[in-house]
Amino acid sequence: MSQTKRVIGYCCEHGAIGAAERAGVERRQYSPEVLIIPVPCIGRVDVLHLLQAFREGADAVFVAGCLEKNCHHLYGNIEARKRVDQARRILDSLSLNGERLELFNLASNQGREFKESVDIMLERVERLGPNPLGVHR
Amino acid sequence: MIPPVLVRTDVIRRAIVLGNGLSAATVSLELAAQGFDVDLLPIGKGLVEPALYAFADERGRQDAITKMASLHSSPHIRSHRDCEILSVKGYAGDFKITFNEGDRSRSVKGGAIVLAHEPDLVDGKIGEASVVTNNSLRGMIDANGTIPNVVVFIEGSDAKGSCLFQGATSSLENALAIKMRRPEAQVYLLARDVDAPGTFERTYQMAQKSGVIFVRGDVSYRLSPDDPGSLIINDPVVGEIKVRPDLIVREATFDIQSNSHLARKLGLRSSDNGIVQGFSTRLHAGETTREGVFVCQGLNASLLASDNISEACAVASSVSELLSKSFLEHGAEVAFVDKEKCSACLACVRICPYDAPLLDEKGKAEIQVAICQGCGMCVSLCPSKAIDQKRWTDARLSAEIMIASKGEGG
Repeated sequence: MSQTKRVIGYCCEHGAIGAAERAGVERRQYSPEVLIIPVPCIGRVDVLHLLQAFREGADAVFVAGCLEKNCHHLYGNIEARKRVDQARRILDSLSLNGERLELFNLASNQGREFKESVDIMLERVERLGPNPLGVHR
Repeated sequence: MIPPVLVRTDVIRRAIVLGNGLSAATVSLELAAQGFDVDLLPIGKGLVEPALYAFADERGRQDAITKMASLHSSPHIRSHRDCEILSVKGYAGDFKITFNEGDRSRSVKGGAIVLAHEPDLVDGKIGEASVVTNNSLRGMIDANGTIPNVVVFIEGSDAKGSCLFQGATSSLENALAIKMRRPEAQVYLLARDVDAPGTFERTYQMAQKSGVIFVRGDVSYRLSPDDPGSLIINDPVVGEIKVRPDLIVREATFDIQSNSHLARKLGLRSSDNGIVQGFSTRLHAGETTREGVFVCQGLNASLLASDNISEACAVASSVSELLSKSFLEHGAEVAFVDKEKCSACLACVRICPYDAPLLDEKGKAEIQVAICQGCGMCVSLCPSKAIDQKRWTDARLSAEIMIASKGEGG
């Protein structure tokens, strides 16, 4: 079993992807252990998608969308919060610890905040250890 | 990848302008000059008198008065009166607005909507000080009237007393004029930031040198509780300043409630202070998050009438770009329903921010391609998994998760 962590980030095309790009433009290096999956709006992210990532062995998953009240699709980030809360409860009941899943609200000029969000997730994986479902990795 | 099936819709070569002031008049006249028919729907109290705006010179004022007067003679412009918007339906190229005009309910159709609502320009009183607009103040200065001892300029305050807008160039000019006439007068200018484009930079510098006190940033003010004639200004740097103003100069008050209400009807988002958010004026003049709906943000810039006019011209050119197209193509990223699986639970109808899903004649959900903006909220919510989205299919997201979780993609 390798020691590399695996963090998946769902980022919305309007806010968080911009933040990730901004982080790059600002030369803020974040860990290559993070992989970003772009989505049109974080309201698109299904509970199934969140849980599937853990089943496939991801150590942590974050969902990053627009700032609250500033969603490109009016309230997609509010809907996403409901899905994330639901998935966290499921993770808790599976003893996987809901802290492995988090939602961030980022505007497209928040490169520093993007890097900080990534660091928060990596720090949590450090603390909680690898995903027990990721043994086949 | 599934190739997109594009749907073509026709564009109605008419525009609907919602507004009550110079911006609305300018947009309507510019579009009429290009041969587009315009419905002008004044919201609330009807058209604002051009005399209430601040102008750099007399010629500008005369031009504006002529412009407002020519609204009624243009064959392309249909003016309505005292409108109350009931509903906005449709999509870019084919909107329908239902409204009350007086007691009658009417509806108009158009290819584009322009929101050019301007705040009411009111005179009144705050505490014991009288409130005037920059333009009235200009008149007082020009007429050699008495200059008061303490003058406070407040730039766009909300109900809580926070300053929201950038200092208007007209305020700068007036503040300087007061100091020139009466150097011992105390002049405060409260603004989020001072915007001094072009040659106004010089005015700004002169105003600073002559002793105008600028209070910038997160400024707020409130009436002193124990002394009704005093105003307590909260400066983010030095703390509270207590002044006893003789005159308060305030440009515009915005009916936050009605404006947010209007924005919601149009499917736009507005900030806490009721300002509708658009994209950068320089890059996409007047465009909003909803295709086909444009906004004139005269308020966020300086309040000199010439700025409102030039912005309105830029917005008019964006509108004409849309209206000149003979058709629009939709459908690259839209959601679609598998009617075999649909159980008609209406979850998609309730969640859609754009009112795109409907029930068809068989009682199954159907997503109107021209309205769908491809956010995918219905896709993730659908309990029967009957909805999928073009380009962002469930299969694609699953495949991406598989690769990403196993680390093969990194």
